[in-house]
Amino acid sequence: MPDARIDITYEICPMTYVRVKLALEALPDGGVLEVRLKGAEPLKNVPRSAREDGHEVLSLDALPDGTSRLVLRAHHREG
Amino acid sequence: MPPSACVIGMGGLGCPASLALARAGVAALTLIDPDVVDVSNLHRQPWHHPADVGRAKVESAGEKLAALFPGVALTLRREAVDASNAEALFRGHALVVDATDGVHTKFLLSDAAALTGTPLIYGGVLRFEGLAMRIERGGPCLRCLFETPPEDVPTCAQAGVLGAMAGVVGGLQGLLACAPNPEPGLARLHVVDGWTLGLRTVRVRRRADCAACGDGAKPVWSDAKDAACPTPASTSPMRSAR
Amino acid sequence: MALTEAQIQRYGRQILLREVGGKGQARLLERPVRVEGRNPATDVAVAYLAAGGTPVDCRDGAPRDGFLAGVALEAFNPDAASPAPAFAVLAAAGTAPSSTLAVVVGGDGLVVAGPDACADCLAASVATLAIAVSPVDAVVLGSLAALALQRLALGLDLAASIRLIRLSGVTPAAAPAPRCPAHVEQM
Repeated sequence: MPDARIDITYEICPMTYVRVKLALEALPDGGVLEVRLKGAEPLKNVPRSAREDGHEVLSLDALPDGTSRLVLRAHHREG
Repeated sequence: MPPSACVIGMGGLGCPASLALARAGVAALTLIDPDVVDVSNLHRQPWHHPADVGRAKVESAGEKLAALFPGVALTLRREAVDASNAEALFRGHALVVDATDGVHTKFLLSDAAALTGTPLIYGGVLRFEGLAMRIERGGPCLRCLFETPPEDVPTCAQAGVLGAMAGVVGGLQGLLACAPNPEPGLARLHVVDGWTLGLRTVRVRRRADCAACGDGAKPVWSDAKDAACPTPASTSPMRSAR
Repeated sequence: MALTEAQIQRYGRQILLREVGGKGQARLLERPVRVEGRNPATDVAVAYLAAGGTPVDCRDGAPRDGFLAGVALEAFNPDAASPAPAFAVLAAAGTAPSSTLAVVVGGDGLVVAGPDACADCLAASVATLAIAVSPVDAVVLGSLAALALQRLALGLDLAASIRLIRLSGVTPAAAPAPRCPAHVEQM
């Protein structure tokens, strides 16, 4: 079970990652975030951006409705 | 100060550069930008206020510049710059300021400067890193610095920028508009590290084998388009400068 | 403090910065700057500070020229207009800042001082700044001042240090900061 869920299917870049970044910041270190996303651009960019910021990509799955489910684990540098 | 200048882009770099040029006494100023003001622009584009969201950027900025500088002949063009209109823009102005936000457009403008000999003030911001350089006839140009546009498209996380960083680089572009390079073939590249508040100047020489401004080089036109994703806020190629 | 939806939209591009994020943006919103004295460079600095969410207290009058001519701070950015105790001071050269956590900007450069800086050393550096500011130079000088204040708010650890940035022609560069007589002897 994720600790939090967000839906960014209605957002466009770069607000897609702004939402994910804020949601990850709100989690404790090691917390798990589930993200619903849609479209080629966020599918490519959001996992890359999360990795760049030091977070961990746990899984990325396509769903029957055309959206995708990305699961991330938060890692905070400040500890 | 050149008699006329064209500022391409009325965003993070174009706002401070246009203020500096108007204050420096440019007689004719052309502003070009195809976009409208978005709320996410406001933190770094101080000509644009919350009431301007949805208006064309050139109208929003032009209105304020016209009120403050009634003696400046302003031309506002709501359009994008590409290979079809770049050469005419360069030939029609004494100086051009690159205040754009796409890597390919930056190479296009540098190539147009090499072709026409009209001075171009390059500027770019990526996160906390800023660059500014004056490109003149005889080089060096952007291709002397970077050779080719980088292939790696920035991610969304790289689209971040602190507004004051754009102000520093746009302000430097304004100063460079009034300051010719020290000698042909030599330019000063200003490098700003906004995180450490570090400032340095790198001497850049024209490369004899540069594809755009080297010996016997034929005109180069980069006609590649920037990605549709509005990711880079004010992106510049940075790698070889560091 | 939690960011409002309007703040997330407005500051999204700053929040994206790894070094800023939501927490850094909250810090900017919570750390007001008091402006002491006024010149063309402080006017530019106020515009960039206010645009980025820093509350600004202009005790010596609102900026009259440049980006903020004819617009109230409330209309420019409501977040910047809320008065609160100052975190740091932005001063025009010729005005002694009331705190050592300060950025002082003049015609040929700026001084950036940390909270534990020696007030006499700060005064010695500030005394070297030209009072008159060219409106053209003001754009880059004011932007640098705003950037320095934002970095202080975000946690640039200057402690007792003082930095002098000098604008010479078109080139801004770090310069050695003069010290007060007591500290010169220790060097």
